[in-house]
Amino acid sequence: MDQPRHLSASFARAPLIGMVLLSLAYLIFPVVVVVVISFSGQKFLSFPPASFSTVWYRDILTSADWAQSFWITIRVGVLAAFLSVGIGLPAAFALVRRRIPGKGVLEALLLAALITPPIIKGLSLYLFYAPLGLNNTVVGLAVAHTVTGVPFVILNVSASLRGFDMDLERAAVIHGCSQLGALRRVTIPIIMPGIIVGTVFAFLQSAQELLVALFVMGSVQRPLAVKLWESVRVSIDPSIAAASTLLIAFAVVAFVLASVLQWRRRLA
Amino acid sequence: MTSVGETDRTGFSDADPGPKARAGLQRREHFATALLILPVLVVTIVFFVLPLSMMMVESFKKDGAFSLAQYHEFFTSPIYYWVILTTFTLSLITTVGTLIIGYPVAYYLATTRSRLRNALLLLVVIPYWLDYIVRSYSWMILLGRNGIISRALQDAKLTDGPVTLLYNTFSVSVGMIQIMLPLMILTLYAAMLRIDQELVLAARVHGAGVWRSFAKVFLPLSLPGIYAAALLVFIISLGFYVTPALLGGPGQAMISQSIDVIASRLLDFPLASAAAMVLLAISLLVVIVYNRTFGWDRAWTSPGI
Amino acid sequence: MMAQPHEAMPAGTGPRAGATLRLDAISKRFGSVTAVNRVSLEIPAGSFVSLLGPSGSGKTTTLNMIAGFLRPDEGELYFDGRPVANVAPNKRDIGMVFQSYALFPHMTVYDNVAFPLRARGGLDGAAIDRRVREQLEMVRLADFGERFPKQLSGGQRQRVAMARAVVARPSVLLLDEPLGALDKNLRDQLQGEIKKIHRSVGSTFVYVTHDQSEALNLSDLVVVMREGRIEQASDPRTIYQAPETPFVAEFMGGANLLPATVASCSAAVLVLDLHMGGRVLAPASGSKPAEGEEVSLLVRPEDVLIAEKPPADPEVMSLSCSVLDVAYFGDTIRLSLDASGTILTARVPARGSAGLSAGQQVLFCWRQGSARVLRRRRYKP
Repeated sequence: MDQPRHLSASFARAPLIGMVLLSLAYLIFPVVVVVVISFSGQKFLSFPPASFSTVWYRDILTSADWAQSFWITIRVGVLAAFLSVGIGLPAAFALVRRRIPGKGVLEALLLAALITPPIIKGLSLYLFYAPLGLNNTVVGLAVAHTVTGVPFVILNVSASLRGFDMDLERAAVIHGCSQLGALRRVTIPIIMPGIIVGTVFAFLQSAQELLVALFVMGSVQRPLAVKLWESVRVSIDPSIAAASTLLIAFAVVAFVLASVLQWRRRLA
Repeated sequence: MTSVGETDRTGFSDADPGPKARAGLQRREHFATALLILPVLVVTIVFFVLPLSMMMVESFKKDGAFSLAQYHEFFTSPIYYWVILTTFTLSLITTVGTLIIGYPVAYYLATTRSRLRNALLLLVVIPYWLDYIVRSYSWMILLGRNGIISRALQDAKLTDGPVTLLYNTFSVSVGMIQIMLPLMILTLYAAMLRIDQELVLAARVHGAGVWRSFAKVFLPLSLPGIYAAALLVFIISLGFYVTPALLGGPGQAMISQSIDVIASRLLDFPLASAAAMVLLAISLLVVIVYNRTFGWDRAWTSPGI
Repeated sequence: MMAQPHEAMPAGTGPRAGATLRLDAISKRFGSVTAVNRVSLEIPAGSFVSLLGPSGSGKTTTLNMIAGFLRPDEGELYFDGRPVANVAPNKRDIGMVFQSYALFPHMTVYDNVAFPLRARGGLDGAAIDRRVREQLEMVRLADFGERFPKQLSGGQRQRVAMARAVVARPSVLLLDEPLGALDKNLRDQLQGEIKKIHRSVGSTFVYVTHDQSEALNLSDLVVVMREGRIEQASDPRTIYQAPETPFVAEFMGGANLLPATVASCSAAVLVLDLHMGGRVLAPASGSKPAEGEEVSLLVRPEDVLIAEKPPADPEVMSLSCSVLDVAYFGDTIRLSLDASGTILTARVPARGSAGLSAGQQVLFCWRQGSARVLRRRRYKP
C-alpha cells in the first residue's frame, strides 16, 4: 500500500503528536498497570506495589480450577476457529469471485450476527439450546462463537482474495494444474496470511466472549472469561491480574504472529 | 450423454457445445456457488436467526397465550425507563469521547510519513484485542481506593484518607471510552486512508492555509468515516455489560445488566426476552441507518499494518 | 471420464513441432458488447503470429479463448485439427507469458520454472531438475534459481516468465503483451531473445501486442484486429507496404491518408478527386472501387519528395503546402506540412534538405505508383 502523502511538516505537528501520545498512553497505561500489579507482593491492590513476587502466578498455574477453565476455553476457541475457517473460507471465495443473488442480504446477516448485543445472543441461544440439551456443552458454545467468528474469517480472507492477482491462478492452470490443484498450490498458499489472521481473530473473540459463555456454559464448566468474571466480582486480589497478564501475553503473541504474517504478505 | 467421440473433451465439461449444454454448465456453476455459501447460511440461520425468533416468540407469551404483558411491564416500569436512558447517555458519551480523542490519532496515523507508524498502529491494535474484563479491571485498580490517583491526592494532602473515583458516570465513561477507542481509531483511519491527499495539497497550492485546507477539504472528506465509526461505536456501546457492572454503581446500570438480572436472578425469561427485543430493535434501527450510509466491511478487517 | 489421449504427452522432451491452430468463426459477447465477432484464422504449426490492435479490439479476448480461460459463445477452435473449445486450459498443452508475468511470489525462480513440469507429471525428479537447469541457462538466469521473484529486476522477471512458459515445450505458446511493462531498450533486447527462443523450442507462438514495431519485427504473420474482427492478416512486409484498409495503414504508423472520391477508373489507373482539393492519379491494385466511391489514398511518409517547383514528370503528383515543423532525426528529417487544413507528414533524407524551415511554401510530391488506394471495409451484417 502506498504511504499517503504527508500534508505538511508544519501542520501543527507538535501539538498533534502530543495529543497522539497522550491518547496512546490512555490506551496502554491501564494494561501496564495490570501487568505490574500481577507481580505485586501484597494481597491488596495498590499501584505501584510496595513489593514484588510471582506468588500470584504460582496460585493461578497450580489451581485446578483455572487450569480447567483454560482448557475449556482452548477447546471452545479452537473448535470455533476451525469451524469459522471451514465455513468462512468457501463463503469468502463465493462472495469475492461469484455473482450471488442477495449478496447484500447475506452481508447484512453477517454484520447483524457480529454486532448484535452479546446479551441478546446469550439469552436467545440459552432458550434455543435448553430443549436440545446443548447448554453446558463445548460444541454448543463453539458453534455459538462460530456465528461471530465467521465474519472475521470472511472479511480477512476476502481482503486477501481481492488483492490476489487472478493471473497467478490462470498461470497455474495453463501450465498444467487442475482448478483445484491451482487453488491448493497457488491461491491458498498466497492468501494463507489472511486465512491465519482471520482464524486468530476468530479464536481471540471466542476466548474473550463473556455473555454467551455465561448463559450457555455458566454453571458447570466455566470458560476462562466466565471464571475471570466471577473472580473479579468476588475479590480483586492480584491473582486476577496474573490471569489477565497471561491472557494479555496470549493475545499479544497471537497478534504479533498475525502481524508478522501480514507483513510477509505485503512483501510477497 | 455425449457421444464416444467427445470423450477427450475434458475440463469444463464433456458435454456438447451449444445453448443447451451451456445452460447446463451455468446451472452447475450456480450449484457450486450455492454449495460454497450454504454452510455459512445454515449456521447463521440456525444458530442466530432461529434463536432470535424463538426469543421473540417467548417475549409475546404469557401463560401459553399471545400477550403484550411483558412489553407493557417493561415500558411502564420507571426502572427500565431510567436504564434505557442511562444506556443511551453512556453510549453517547462514549461515542463523542472516542471521536474527540480518536480523530487526531487517526488523522496523524493516516497522514504521517513516520517510520513509527506501524509501531503506533500496533499500540492501538493490541488493546483492541485485550479482554473487556481485563481492561475494566485495570481501571478498578487505577481509580480504586488504593489506586494511583487516590494515592496522589493523599500525598498532596488534598484528602484525609483514601478516596474512590469508582461507581459513577465518570468512571464508567473513562472505561468505556478507553475500550472503544481502538475501534474508533481504526475505523476512522481506514476511511482516512481512502481520502486523496492530493486534494488537500491542491488546496494548499491554491493558497488555502493549513487550517483552512483541513477544515474545507480533509474534514468534509472524512465525514463519512466519522459517521460510520460513530455509529459503530454507538451500537456496540449499547450492548455494554462488563464495564458498567465493574466501574459503575446502580445509577450506571445499562440495559444488558437489566436483561441479565431479569433472566438469571428473576428467571423471568419472557420479560427478559421482551427487554432483549427492545434492545435488538434499537440496535437494528441503528444498523439500518449505518448500512445505508456506509459499507460495513472496513471495521473488522485486519487493521492496516 | 475416460483417459485423455492427447494429455499423455510427456512434458519437456526436447523441441518438437508446434500445433496448427484454427479459429473457426469464434465469437465472444460480454453482455451487449461483442468483444470478438466471428473471427476465423489459420495459424501454421511453429509459426510466430501477432495479434495487433488497439485496446478493445478483441485481441486479448481471442488470446483468452485460445488459452481456454474463456469459452467462445459460437464457433470452434482446433489444435492440430482437434476441437478444443471445451477442453480445459490445463489439458491444451499451452504455455503462457502474462503481461504482469504472474510469477508465483511464494516460490523461488527454480520452483516457478519447475512448476509446469511438476504439474503436468510424467517426469521424475532428476529429469525435471535437468530440464529446469537447462531452461534457466537458456534465459541466462542459471545463478538465480534460489531467488524469489520480488528479488529480481523487471527484465529478469520477464525472462523467468518466459522460461516457465516454454520449459515443458508446449505445442502453443501465448504471450500477452509480455514486454509491455519494460522500458524501450530492454524491450528491443528481449525481442531478440524471444525470437531466439521461438527458433529453439519450435512451438507455435501467439503474441498479443499493441506495438506495431514489435509485431513487425517478431512475426511471420501479423493479424490486425479492430472492434472484434480481423482487419487484415498478412506477413509483416505486406501489412506495412500493402495495407488493405485505412485503419491498418494508420495503425501501422505515420501514414498520410488523403480522403478522396473516385472520379473515373480504367484498367490500370484511377482518377481521384481529393477532398482537400485537386485531382490526382493513383494505381489500381487489388479490388477495384466503383466510380463515385469514397476511398483513402495512402502516401507513405518515406515515399514523399519535397520540391519547390512543379515537377515535369506526369507520373509525379503534387500538392502545395506550407511547412509547419521540421524535426531532425539524424539520417532523416520529418516534416509536418499543412495542405489547406490537412496535416501531412514527410520523411526525407537529411542530406540536401538543409534549407527547409517552418513557414516555407513547398510542394508535397509522390510518384503515382508508390501510393495506394484503400477502400473502406464493409462487413457483412
